[in-house]
Amino acid sequence: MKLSKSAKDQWYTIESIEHQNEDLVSRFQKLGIFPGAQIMLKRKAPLFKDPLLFLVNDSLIALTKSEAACVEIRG
Amino acid sequence: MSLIALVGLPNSGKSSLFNSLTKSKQRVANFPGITVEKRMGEFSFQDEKVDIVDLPGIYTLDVSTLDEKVTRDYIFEKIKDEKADIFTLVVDATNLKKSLYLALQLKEIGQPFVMAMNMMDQAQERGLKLDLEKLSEALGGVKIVPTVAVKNEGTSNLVQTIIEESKKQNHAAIDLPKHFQRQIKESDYIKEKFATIEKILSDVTIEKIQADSFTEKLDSIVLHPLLGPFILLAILVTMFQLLFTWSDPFMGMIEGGFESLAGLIDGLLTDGLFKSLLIDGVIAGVGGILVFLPHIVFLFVIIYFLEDFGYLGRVAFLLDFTMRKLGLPGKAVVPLLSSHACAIPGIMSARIIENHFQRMTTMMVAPLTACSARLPVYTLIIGIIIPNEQVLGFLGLPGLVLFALYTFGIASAFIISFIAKKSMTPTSPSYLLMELPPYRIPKMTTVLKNSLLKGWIFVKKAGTVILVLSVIIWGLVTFPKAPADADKPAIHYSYAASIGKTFEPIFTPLGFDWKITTALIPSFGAREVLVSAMGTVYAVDGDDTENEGFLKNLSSIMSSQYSLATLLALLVWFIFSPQCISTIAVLKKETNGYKMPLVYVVYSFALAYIFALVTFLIFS
Repeated sequence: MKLSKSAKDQWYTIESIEHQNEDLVSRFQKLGIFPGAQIMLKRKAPLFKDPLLFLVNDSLIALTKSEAACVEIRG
Repeated sequence: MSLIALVGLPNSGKSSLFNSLTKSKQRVANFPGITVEKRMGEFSFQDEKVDIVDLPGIYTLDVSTLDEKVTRDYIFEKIKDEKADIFTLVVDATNLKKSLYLALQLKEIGQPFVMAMNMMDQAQERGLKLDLEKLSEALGGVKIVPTVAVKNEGTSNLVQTIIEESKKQNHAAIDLPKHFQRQIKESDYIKEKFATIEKILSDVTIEKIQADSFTEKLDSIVLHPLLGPFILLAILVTMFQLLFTWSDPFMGMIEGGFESLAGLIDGLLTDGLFKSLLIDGVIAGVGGILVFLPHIVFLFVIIYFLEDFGYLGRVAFLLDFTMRKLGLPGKAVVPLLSSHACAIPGIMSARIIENHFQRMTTMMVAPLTACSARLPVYTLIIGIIIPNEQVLGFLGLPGLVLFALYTFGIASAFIISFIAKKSMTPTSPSYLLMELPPYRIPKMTTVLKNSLLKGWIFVKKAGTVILVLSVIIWGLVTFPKAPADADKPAIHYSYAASIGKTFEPIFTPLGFDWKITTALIPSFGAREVLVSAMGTVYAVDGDDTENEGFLKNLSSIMSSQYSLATLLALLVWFIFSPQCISTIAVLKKETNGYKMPLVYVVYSFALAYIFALVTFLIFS
């Protein structure tokens, strides 16, 4: 399942990050988003429900919906 | 002499530590060849002079932004700068995992460091208990000093440790493991490192840290689906209001100061060229810009406060979707809003945007928003062409037109950025992908100190350019002198008038005569000067532009001399035209070159010309 489709306040494990852009992948990784890490959707931005706010490795990380769609997760 | 280099994650408290240690002796310079700022300072410790440099925050040695590259290049000695023998890794005790990741990487490349375990008070409040000795062992004997930088606790112990440790080191070049740069990008490497960190943490943690309930609670209000946008709007409006009310008395003082200085010189020197140069050139030019210094300082007080508090990231989060559709990131709302006070701090604050293309776009469109120096020009022309009538019984028509001009300014900024986004391929894709820091109460002295430093940078860097250009403009208006039997105001005989007459044919299609084009020249020094320059050209009695009689006289002359179409075209010209020389000087400084200022001048001139022409043709 894609991270952008995750349910609120529920822990998921990151499976993989699918993107051709190496730079984006390495940005994900340095914020603690990499295969094996635990991630939880905390909030959605008002009005458009985009961007999304996640809790990962004790930090709050904001991602746009399309950025979150690059991350494959399992419940 | 010792040198301390601070490294660490963004928001780990490096800057607080830097400020606690250096007190007042700080300076800011750019890293050689690039626009990234480095902060340096010095202090004495047990009669020894210690230099300190604060490096931009990094998460890992696998860097992506310009700021982060600076830190990596400093570590790998690619920057020709004196390098510290031993680093000081500043760690946020409330969020250890990612800091330890950087610590492990520094170990891996053989970079010796001392660890400042910062924000210990907050971590303890939230119940964290660590075995620091065990942690030090796990990191191969790295010295760890607990600190609370904002309260200056543990800092002298830290400095002592750094100095002792650096005396043990002999400076050796970093031994970079083969394939390191490629390896640190691989997910297996990262996985393994984080597994190591989990193991270390479970070994050294005596009591686990509680969740940050303050941030959680505040976010549930600030990012609330309904309340959130209203709170944002309220904060932005308040910020804009404060900017004006706080700055006002200081602007008055600066104005008053320059007036008294001019008065003093007036009394001391006999009438002549030198006196005119000092009063009409230097003081009028530099004073006209320094008057905006309070705007710059207070804007940065507000920005740094919101940033240190943790709200700026939330602004980006709230507005990202909408602003992105218009080709700008959420954070661009700060530079765009502050440009309404003055484009200079607006352009300077565009630094908060990481993406190069978006930062450039923001700086290019920021001057389109109506700055406060344009207000006198707008007021003059509106006073001439718009009858003072009420609409719907309570709304003044002039006020409505003024509001429309402001709206027109911000709308055109968005349209241009939208066109830029659609027509140009950005060199680097833009991401949101950011960490929202936990909320923290900022230390006001730090906020104020950093803002004053920003103001000083402006005075120093832009000030010299402005001084030179002010003198040139003065020269154009003053020379050659009027003949003894002159029957017209002196400006009629000047180079400015010759230039005005030379360029008149270019501006004739817009309905401008040579008198307007002549007055446009000094208005490049400061926008509002157009009003007094028009007064000079028409030799209107009384040179006090605040004087109602002066404005009334000028208005009646202009309304008899110019058609509605010309005046409207002039209004439109002022919305788009290249703004004051200080704006251009600051663009040059912030982009580190002549290309962007040149692009700005050409594009804004073209826009102004086309729109003024269309306006003139429609109304004549």
